Amino acid sequence: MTNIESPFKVLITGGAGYIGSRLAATLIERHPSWQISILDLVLPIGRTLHEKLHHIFQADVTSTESVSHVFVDYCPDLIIHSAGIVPSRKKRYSTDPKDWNLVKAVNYDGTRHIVDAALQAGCKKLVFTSSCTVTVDDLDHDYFFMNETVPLGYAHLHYGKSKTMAEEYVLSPEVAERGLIACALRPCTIIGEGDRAVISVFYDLIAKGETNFIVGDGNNLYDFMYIDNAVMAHVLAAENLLTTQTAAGQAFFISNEEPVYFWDFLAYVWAQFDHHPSFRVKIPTNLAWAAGWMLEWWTWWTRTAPTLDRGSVKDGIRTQYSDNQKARRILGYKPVIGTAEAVRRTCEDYKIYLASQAKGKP
Amino acid sequence: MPSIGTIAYYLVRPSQLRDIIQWKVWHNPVHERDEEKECATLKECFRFLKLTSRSFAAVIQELHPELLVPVCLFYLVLRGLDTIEDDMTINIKKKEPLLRKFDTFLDDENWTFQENGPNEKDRELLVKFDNVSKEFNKIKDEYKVIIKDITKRMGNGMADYALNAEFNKQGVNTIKDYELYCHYVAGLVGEGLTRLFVEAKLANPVLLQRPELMESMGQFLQQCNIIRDVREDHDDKRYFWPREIWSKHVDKFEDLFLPENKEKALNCSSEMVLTAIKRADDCLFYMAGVREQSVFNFVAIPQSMSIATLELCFQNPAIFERNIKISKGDACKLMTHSTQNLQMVCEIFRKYARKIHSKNSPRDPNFLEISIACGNIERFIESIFPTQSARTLKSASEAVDPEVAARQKKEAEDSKKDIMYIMFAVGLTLAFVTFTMVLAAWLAGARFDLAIKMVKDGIWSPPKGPEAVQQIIEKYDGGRGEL
Repeated sequence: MTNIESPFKVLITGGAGYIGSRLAATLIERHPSWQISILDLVLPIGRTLHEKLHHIFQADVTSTESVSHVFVDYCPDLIIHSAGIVPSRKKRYSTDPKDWNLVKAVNYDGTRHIVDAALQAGCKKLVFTSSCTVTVDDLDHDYFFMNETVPLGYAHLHYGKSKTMAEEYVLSPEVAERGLIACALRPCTIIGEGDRAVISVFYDLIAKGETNFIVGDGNNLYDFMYIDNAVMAHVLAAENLLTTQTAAGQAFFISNEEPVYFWDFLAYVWAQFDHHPSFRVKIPTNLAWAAGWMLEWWTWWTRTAPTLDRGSVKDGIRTQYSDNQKARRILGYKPVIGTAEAVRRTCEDYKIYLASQAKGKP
Repeated sequence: MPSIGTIAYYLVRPSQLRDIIQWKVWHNPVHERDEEKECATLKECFRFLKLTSRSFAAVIQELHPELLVPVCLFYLVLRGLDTIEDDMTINIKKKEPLLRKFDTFLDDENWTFQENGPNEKDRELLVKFDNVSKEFNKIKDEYKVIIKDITKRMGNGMADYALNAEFNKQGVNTIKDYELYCHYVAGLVGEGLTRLFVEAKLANPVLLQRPELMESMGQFLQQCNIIRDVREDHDDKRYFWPREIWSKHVDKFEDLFLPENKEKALNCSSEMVLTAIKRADDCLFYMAGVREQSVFNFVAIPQSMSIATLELCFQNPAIFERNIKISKGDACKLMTHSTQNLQMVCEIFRKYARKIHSKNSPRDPNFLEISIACGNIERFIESIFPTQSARTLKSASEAVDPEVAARQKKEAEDSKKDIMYIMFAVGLTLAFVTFTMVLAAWLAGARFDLAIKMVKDGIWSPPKGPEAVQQIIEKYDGGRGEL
């Protein structure tokens, strides 16, 4: 068996991003013998990390040429492909073909480019950052305690659809035949220090005065996870592929294993900012859906930005959480930081960010 | 004869009365005691059982014949031990060896104990304890070994606590101590019962390989009682809420009972509820390992009562004022549902988890932890009884077969088309009927022209009486009317 402390060369795509940069720092600390390199489109990374990286590649995954340049004189032992685009806010529910083309170009074509270039260069191991949205970006179904036997193909939102295509490509028999040893991780919604995409959406509802509603009965459960737990799952997956390879060809749901009532999660985020709604009204699903539908028309007419649309209504009433048995069994995954602590840390960090933003303005 | 107050109570709460009647009328014991075959000493033991236990007497008496007597005696032995431990009139020097040697008294069929204080409520049991020892020596050796082992360990644990001056003065210190105390008084009972069930082949032997499950069974019951009895215990100067928890909320334990600390006290009690409710999924797991209906009822009823009690105590300031209890109607309903199967008990747990979740307040420091603990109960239930609804995928095997998908799409399109046709046909029929009626009215001489003119002038109501009609004709039709 290969020694885990061999000087492995590891390339992290999206290495300047939220997961990627944290992953790079963790790998450097955990495996000082490894040579960590990153690839990203834009590269403003911290100096301390900068100095410890082996290579820093600036490349655009949507372009075959750009990607192939990286592998001219460089062939890593393993790639962690976490580069991707997450359409947020109203773009999340977009049905616009233009939006789809961008998401597909980065998440699906980008993955293909990386895999193909890697195989050509001789790199045969890849950990793919997929997403739980490969199943749950299907707003019409509830996913209680789902595991990896749940069929794909129902996801219709751009993000989940693109991740499904990419994951299926990475784990496909064709690619495996070409020699790729790969696994895919499907993290749920990730929060943590540095998060500017998830908590901010909930935080903004305070200023909008939209914290008095609960759509549906408020009993729907949702998965969230802390960034370090997601990073650790990546580390374990990388170690697995470099040694025992028992994870090869597999996909894994990862989460904090603490599904929480979605509307309680919101209330807890608000409580971190000392906002306590004086009352909360439960709006029946059908009524909210109709209201969302009308507001969509209204905002289309007035060209303003909607908060409530049918997509977010459906998102707010559904249940989706995963069973992580497989990741525990094969990768040895175990969430370390709990969700409540994760929310507190994330919000503390977001408060600092907000204060710095406020200072920045004259 | 029920009092007027009772009658009035159930008149306004008929559903409670229904639940009570349902339980009393429809509940059939799985097994029944055969009193005719019982000797005098055994009859005496069952009399003690009814005397000393309100909640357990009924379920024990319905147990499988194999375990009926052993469990009854197990209960009485522990109750005897407890009666010595509780009695503050007995000097510690005398009490300690009694507790530590209690298991050996079972070998002596003439051993009795007369020195309990006159106010000790279960005093009679020890005065006539020879009845218990006589019956004890008749049961199978395997059962005797288990009962004695647990009695010995519990007696030693109680003796350690009785000697512990700090505990007696200050109460329980850390959460670990709190769980250790609950282990001695309840966790051990869970272990003893489980061993009896497995020995009698009425439960899955795997339960013995997962000791944390039986521990949780006892812990959950005991912790719920400790939360509920906080006022009573405080009045008796017994302190079971661990300092590690209450000191986060108040400086002195008695401050919890001051009206001005209401919110702090509630936050503290929620943390106690949180500690207990984390055990609930283990309890459900345990119950899945029980094989026989009477044993299931025996373990499930107290568990259901406990989660209902926990919900009653959660965010309820009354626990600091008086002893609160779930209503008799609710208790009967819980018993009816707990004597069916695991799925029904899971439904009870889910229902109360959601009730706790809905009472949970974001101002509570443990808000999200409690929410997660409730979610965890739901998650566990989902792992044994997956939800099947219109919003779940039919099954994991139902993959997206392109052929099936295409057919479904075509079917959907066809049905859409059908709906269009039906709508069109309905519209056409309505139009035809309307046209016919208008035509008939026009042929009969209806003056639609006048009606339209009136509407244009903003007059919507029809004229009243022939004079008004004439006026209108004159106004709009230049008096060409033929009336």
